[in-house]
Amino acid sequence: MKTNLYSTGNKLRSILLSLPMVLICMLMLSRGLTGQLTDTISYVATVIFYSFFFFMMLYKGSIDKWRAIAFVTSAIFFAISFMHNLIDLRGSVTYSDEEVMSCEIPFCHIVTTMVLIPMAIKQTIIFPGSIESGFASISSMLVIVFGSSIILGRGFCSWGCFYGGWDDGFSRLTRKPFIKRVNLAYRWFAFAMLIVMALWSASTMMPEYCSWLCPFKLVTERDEIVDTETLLKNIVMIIMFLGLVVVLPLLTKKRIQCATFCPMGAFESLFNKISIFHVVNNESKCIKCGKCQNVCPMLAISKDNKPLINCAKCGRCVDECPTGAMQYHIKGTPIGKRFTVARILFLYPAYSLMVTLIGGSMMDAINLIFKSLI
Amino acid sequence: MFEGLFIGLSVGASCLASCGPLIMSVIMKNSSTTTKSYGYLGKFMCGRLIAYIIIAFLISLLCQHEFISKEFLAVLMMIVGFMMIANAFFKMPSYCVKGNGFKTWVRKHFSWAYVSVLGFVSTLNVCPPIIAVTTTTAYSSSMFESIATFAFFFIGSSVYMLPLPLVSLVADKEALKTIGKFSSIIVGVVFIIKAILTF
Repeated sequence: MKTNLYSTGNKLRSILLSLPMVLICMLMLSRGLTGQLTDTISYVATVIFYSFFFFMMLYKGSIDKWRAIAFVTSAIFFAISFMHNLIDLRGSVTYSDEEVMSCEIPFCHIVTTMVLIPMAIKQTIIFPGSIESGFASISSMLVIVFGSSIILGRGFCSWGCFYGGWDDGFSRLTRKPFIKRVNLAYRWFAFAMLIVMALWSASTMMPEYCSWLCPFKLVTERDEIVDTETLLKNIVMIIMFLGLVVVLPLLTKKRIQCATFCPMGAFESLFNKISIFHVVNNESKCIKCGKCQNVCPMLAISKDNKPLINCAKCGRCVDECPTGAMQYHIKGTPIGKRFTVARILFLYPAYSLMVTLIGGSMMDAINLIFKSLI
Repeated sequence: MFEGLFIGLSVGASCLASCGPLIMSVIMKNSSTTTKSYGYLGKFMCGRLIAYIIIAFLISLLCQHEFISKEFLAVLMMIVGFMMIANAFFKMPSYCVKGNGFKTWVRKHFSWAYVSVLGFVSTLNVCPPIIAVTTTTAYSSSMFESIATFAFFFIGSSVYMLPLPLVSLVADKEALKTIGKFSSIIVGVVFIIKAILTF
C-alpha cells in the first residue's frame, strides 16, 4: 500500500489541527441563523460536512480528492440556493432590462476584470449592481477577490470560485481522457480574453463577457428572451456551457473553461507572482516522470515539470507526485524544508475561503431541501 | 480649434478602450522589441490621422455630422474583423527584404500599409469620442478649422495610446505572440458579430 508523504497518520493530531477550521466554519456559517429547527439542522450538517473534509485532508494526506468533493458539491448547492433565492425575490431566474436598470443584479467575481479600467479612469462602476448592500455587493466582492488573491494567488479558482466546481466535476467523470494531449499554449487564450474583455467593456461601458460569453449564466441567472439579441445571448450561453464546461472537460479531463477561457482566471494568475503560497517542484527529488503534467487540470505544469503562472493550487500534482517533489511552499523559505507546515498553513486560508464564500449557499440549499422534505 | 485637444484629452480613455484591443493585438503578435512596437503604433496612428482628416473634410463639405450609413459602418466593421483574423494567422513580411521589383516593394511596404489601413478603417467606425468631436466641428466656420480641430483631437487622444507598445517589455516573447494571436481572433470575431448585428 502506498503511504502518503503528507499523511499525519494520527487521528488525534488531525483532530487537533482541524479544530481551528471547525471554529471558523461555525463562525462563518452562523450568520443569519433564526433558531428554527431546519435552520439549525442545516447549520450543523454544513459545519460537519466542511469539517469532515478538512479533517480527511489532514488525516489521509491527500488534498485534491477531498477538496474536489467539497468544491463540486458546494458549486451544485450554490446554484440551487442562488436560483431559488432569485425565484423568491424576482419570481424567475431571468432578468429583464428594468431589473438591470434598477441595479438588482448580484455582482460575481468574474466581472471584477471588466469593472477595473472604467473604475480607475472614469470613476464609474459599469456593473448594474449594488455598491454596498445586497447579498453580493460590488464592494464586498472586490475586497474578497483582492484579499484572497494576495494570499492565495490563483488558489481562488480551486478553493473559492462558486462556478469552478462545475467543470472540475465534469473533468473527473471519465476514467481516462479521450483527448490525451492539450497544447499548453491554449492557456494563453484566457489572457487574450482578459485583455480584450477588459478593454471592450471599458469601451462600451458594459460588462461584455457577462452579457455574451459567460457560460455560468445557465446555473445562475440569464437574460429574459424578448428579442433576437437576447435569444442569441441565450443560445451562446447554452453552447458555451455545453462546450466548455461539459463536453471538453469530459473529453480532456482538464478544466477547460477555467484554464483556457475565464478572464478572471487569467487575472488571478497575475497574483501568483506576489501571493504568499505557491506550488514548487523540488528538483532534487524530481524523477521527471511527467505525471504532474498529465494530471494537472489547469494546463499549469511545463514540459520540464515546473508549475507555471496559471497554477490554481488545487493540489492534484502534489498528491500524485510519486516522490513528493511537488510541494506547497511559502515564499522566502527554503525549498524542501518544512513543506508539511507550508501545506497545512496553506490549507487554512484556502479552505476558509471556500467556507466563507460558498458555505452559506450550501447551508441555504440544505435548508431548502429539508423544508421540501418536511 | 483647441477644443479638439481638450476633447481628445478628456475622452482619450474611450479611444484607448475602443482601439486598444486592435493595436495591442497587432503589437503583441508581430513585434519583438519596443522600438518595433512604437513603429506599429506609428503606422496605426497614421491611418487614424488620415481618417480624421477625411471625416473633418466631409463634415465641412456636407455640413452635417451623420453622413455614414448603418450599412456602411457594418461593412467597415466586417473589414476590421477579417483584417484582425488575418493578422492572427499570417506573419507580417519583414521590412528588410532583399531584392528588387514590384513583389519585393509590396513585401517591404505591406506591414506599413496593412496596419495603417487597419487604423484608418477602425477610426471610421463611429465611436462616442468621434461623435463628441464631430458635434463640435459642426459649428466650425471653415474647413481649415474643422480639420485643425480633428488634428488636435488626434493629438489629445493619442496620448493615451503611447504606453501600449511597452507591452513588448514582457520577457516571454513567445507567450506574448500567442496572446496576440488569440486576442486578434477574439477581436476579429467580435467585430464580425457586431457587423452582422448592425445589419
